[in-house]
Amino acid sequence: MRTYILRRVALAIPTIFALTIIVFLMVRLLPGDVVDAMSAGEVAIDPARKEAMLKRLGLAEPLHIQYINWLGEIASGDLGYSLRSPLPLRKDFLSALPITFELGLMAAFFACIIGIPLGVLAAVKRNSPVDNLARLIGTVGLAVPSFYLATLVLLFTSTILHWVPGLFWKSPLEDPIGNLQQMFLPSLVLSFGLMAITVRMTRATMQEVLTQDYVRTAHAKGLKTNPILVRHALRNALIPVITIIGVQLGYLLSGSVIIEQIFGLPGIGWFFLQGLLQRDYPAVQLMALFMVVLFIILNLVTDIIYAYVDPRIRFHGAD
Amino acid sequence: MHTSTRASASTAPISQPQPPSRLGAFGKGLARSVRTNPTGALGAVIVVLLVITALFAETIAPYSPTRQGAPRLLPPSPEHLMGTDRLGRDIFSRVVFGTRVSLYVGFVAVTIALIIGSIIGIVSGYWSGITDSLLMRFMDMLLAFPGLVLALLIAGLLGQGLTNTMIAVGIVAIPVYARVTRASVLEIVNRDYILAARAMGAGDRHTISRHVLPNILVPLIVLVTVSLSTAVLAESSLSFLGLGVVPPNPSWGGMLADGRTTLEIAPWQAIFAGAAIFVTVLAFNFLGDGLRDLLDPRMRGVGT
Repeated sequence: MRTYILRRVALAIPTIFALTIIVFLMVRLLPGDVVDAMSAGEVAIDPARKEAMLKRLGLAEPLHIQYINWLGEIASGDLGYSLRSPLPLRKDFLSALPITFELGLMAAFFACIIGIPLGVLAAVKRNSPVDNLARLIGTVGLAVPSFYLATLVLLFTSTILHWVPGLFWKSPLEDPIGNLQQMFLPSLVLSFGLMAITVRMTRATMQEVLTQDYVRTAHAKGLKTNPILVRHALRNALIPVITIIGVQLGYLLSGSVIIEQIFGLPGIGWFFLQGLLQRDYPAVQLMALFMVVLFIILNLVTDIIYAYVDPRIRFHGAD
Repeated sequence: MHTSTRASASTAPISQPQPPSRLGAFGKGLARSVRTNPTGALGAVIVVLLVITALFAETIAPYSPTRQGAPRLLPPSPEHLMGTDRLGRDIFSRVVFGTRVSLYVGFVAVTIALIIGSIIGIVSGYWSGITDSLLMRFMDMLLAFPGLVLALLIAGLLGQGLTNTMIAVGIVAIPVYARVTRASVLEIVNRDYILAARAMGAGDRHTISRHVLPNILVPLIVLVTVSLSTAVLAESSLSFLGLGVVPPNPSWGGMLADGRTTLEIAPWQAIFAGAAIFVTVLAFNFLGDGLRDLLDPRMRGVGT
């Protein structure tokens, strides 16, 4: 097990390094530079002034020096400097991080707490109304775009409940109730796609497990139905479900770019998109790199958990 | 194409006294798949309707999608089935023309991914070794990005517009095609019929085009259908976020974003544009699942 984990981590490190180069180069290729964007109001910017601005922003250096400087800034903890403010990006990043994490964790929580029981009930009572509901969520959840769902939810809350999303993010430490009120809808909307996958997976694996011999044996021993369902069936059925949720957690990052934008939550995805729209390279590359690294780590952890649960993988499926 | 085969299947018994057995079998097969897989059939019907809408948008739409003549923000009425937007354009006409944009971007993006991805997959599956490792490592790099993040980066890099959106959406889908193709090639490359072809002196090009390609088509067909829904969704997400299809072109994602500015006083634009995306994605999902069950049950769970 230890060898397996070490090998997987060792493989992830060069990948992350290569990705810093890819992200860096992609962002450099963005057309137009920030000086053009900053001087958009002026008819023609004096070339000498432009040169000075580029120099001040560190954009006059050759690419490989810029890249090394960037790695240095990340290592030093400043995380680079936004082209739009003199402050290090650390401040934006640290304020964005808890928002995205809270959003993602709450979404995963909703997906599990609604998706797993619904999937189990649907598998136990096939073709019942519960099963139909599960199938409906499993189908609609995969097809409805999150921004559409969010729009419909906001339409409902603003016209019927007269509630609109707040302008400022409330920290859970300072205002726990206000924070939950604010984060409830965005994370519920974000969770819908993952919930659909969870319901589908739980229902399918549970149906399969319920036909297994050991479940029949447990029935024959005279055990009550509920303990059988929880202790014998659900435990085994959850293994693939957990794997899928683990892999899909990374995809919540994609969703959070959209959800943060709609609900006005200044998280990682929000800064990423704003940076992209404003050609603020350092912000874009920092947020993109963070999302990529988090995505890799999530996949790695999922693989390790899976290998822990299923010993066959440790010996064969390393690639 | 779909419609023409169907039309000839239904008229065949009238024009010819003896129904041709192949068409009859096709009809029977069709009837059976409708019975056993109603959602797949529903998906197919909706997809055909969407394609017709996209092809004949000029005939179907009552107004030009960019004409600003009507009063602004009218609610749905017989003259304007889905109302008008804040510039006085007919929303129904824009949704109809949006079908064309959506499907066009989807088809081209999927074609890009299919061609490049399957070439990469065949190359790395057929000639394993260092090429294979390098190509697959590169695909892993692309897969290390959350899909929308990569699409946004590429779209930001290339700039807005129809073509760039297609490229961005297409590139994101390449690694999936490469992996599925490679896995399928690896599965058959050591089969007896491939070895026999090689033993008889067939060159690589002949072996690939005559023996490998036909045998990996089924998983690719299923993947194309499934990834069309992903592509439509990706295009509308990019356009919604302002990095996709440019405004005068009617894109459902852009219309939904635009409709959000007048959501409380005139919600219909957002509602109808979003519903169009939802129905299209749902239809491709249904069709993809149906085709998968029909053609290749092993593929369950791939590509979503």
